[in-house]
Amino acid sequence: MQLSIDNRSDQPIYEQIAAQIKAQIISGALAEDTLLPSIRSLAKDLRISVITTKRAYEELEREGFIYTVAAKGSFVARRNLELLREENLRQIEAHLREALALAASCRLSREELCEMLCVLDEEG
Amino acid sequence: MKGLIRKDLYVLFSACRLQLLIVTLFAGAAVLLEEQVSYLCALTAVMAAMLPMTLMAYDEQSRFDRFAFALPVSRAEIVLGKYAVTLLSVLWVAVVYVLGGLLSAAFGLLDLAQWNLGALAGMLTLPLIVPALYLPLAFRFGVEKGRIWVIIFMAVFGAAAFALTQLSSVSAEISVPGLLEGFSPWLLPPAALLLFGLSALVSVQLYKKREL
Amino acid sequence: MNAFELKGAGKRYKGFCLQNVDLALPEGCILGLIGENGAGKTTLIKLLLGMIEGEGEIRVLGRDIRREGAAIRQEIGVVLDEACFPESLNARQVNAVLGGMYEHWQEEEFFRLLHRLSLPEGKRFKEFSRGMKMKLAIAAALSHEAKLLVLDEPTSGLDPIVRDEILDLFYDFTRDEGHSILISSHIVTDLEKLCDYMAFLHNGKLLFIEEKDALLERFAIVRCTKEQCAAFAPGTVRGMREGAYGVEALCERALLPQGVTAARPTVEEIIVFLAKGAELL
Repeated sequence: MQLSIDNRSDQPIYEQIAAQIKAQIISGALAEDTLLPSIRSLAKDLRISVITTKRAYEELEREGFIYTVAAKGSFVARRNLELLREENLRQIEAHLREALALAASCRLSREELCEMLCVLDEEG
Repeated sequence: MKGLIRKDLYVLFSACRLQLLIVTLFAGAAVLLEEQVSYLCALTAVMAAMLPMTLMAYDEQSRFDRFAFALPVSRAEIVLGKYAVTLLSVLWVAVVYVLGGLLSAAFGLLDLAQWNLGALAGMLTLPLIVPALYLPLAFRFGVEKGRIWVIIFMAVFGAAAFALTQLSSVSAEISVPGLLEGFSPWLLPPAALLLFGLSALVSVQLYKKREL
Repeated sequence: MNAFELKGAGKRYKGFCLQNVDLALPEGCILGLIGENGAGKTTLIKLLLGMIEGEGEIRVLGRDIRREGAAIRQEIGVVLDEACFPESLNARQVNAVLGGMYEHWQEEEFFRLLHRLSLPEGKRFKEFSRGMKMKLAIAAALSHEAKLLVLDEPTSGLDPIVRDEILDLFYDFTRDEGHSILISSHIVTDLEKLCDYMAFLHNGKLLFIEEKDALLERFAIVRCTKEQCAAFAPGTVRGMREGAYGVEALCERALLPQGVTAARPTVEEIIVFLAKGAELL
């Protein structure tokens, strides 16, 4: 499992961890039922607080990406296509909001924005 | 407490090496040099009596005394450790004097009949009584203030030690009135030991209240 | 079990007073104690270790420190600001001394740490630099199967490379979930990485104790004009610094109005601003 933390980013560390693990689960880099490192050892290896890693795992579990077995640890949950779609939709929404905010700041109208979208789509 | 005693012994053998050597030499020399025996005995006794104070001074200077409070020892153990080392140093004086005497006799340097064993009584007493008096003060007020009292006690008891050794070597001829008739100097060390024990109890109580 | 609990702890000195501290550290966690010089960090630590008498209830590793001080300290590894062994002793002798005090003294571990920290075995303590004295104290604290480490400025006097090594050692210590650490330091950046909780002591009072992550999320640094700042809801601004071109304010993120650019603070900024804010109160 690959993880890197950016201390200077505005994004909370637990979010960074959760996002990276999520991405690896979605891409298949982390296979189903893989045992994840314990909250404590992950914290120590990354040199961060145990509370942070706990929160990251809790979020992943809440969103259904991992499951925990008492006294054994946390495992990667089965790839749920619904979940993946949800996740991708969420990301698209986030990116679109960003684009909207930027458009507003340079006074780009909605029509102009949609035009850009169509042009890009045809190019790609 | 074992660790504390070890520490004091290490300090004795490294920082206080010179004093230890002097005490040993004087104790040994006191066996042989009959004319100067009383002076040497008194000197030995005085130097031995100073050792606990010196050790406490080193503790204070290195701030080990404060640090000891963070270690797994109680205040009682800290105090008793010092008293234990004091006893050990008195024992050392006795060992040196006795061994010295026996060795000298073996080499024909000393006539055992002439051996001033009474002086030993004095050399055991002074290093017990004087620390018994100043240790509680040092534990309560610190080494600096304690030192003043050491000088006072030394002056008083130095004279007494001198008189003591004179007493035993000329006991037959002494002209001091009845009080001291048949007085054995060997009554003193046990009395000193008793005082020493009481002093330890007092020191423990005083040190428990001490704030560093 | 909590590694330690302080309830209403306090200590009065002539010019200074530590008041009414309620502080607890859950087992397995790391608590960073921050505050300016003279805030009472060392006093707090001394109370915790039973080194001084004070007010309040103080329990460490489940037991009353006043009654069972020496026994509890068997399981506490201590590094105080001045690591104080008699000057004429060397590391080998220190090993013998501490071995005679700690029931679970690990001689091999001690020497292993000495070597790892490049400390000479035969050199007298007198000839140690300040950094070396610190390293010796740290090696000792980690060599007797302690469950709680109490560290008062353990990295001061050490260069950044060694500091990193030392922090590594502390990290390793906490891999065991029964191990806890209380660390007080000026070098807030060290604490920022290491700690689970942070407690801020100011002028003898405990201003807060919070999860470090929650702390960093709760506050935000806002840079704006003085007028804009004054317009915020009461209680938003917790501390402020005025400059020639505007002000920098530490604010409660939740109370900020929409659209205000707010940056994530560092722990150092939080304490500096809070201290400023406390002065104004």
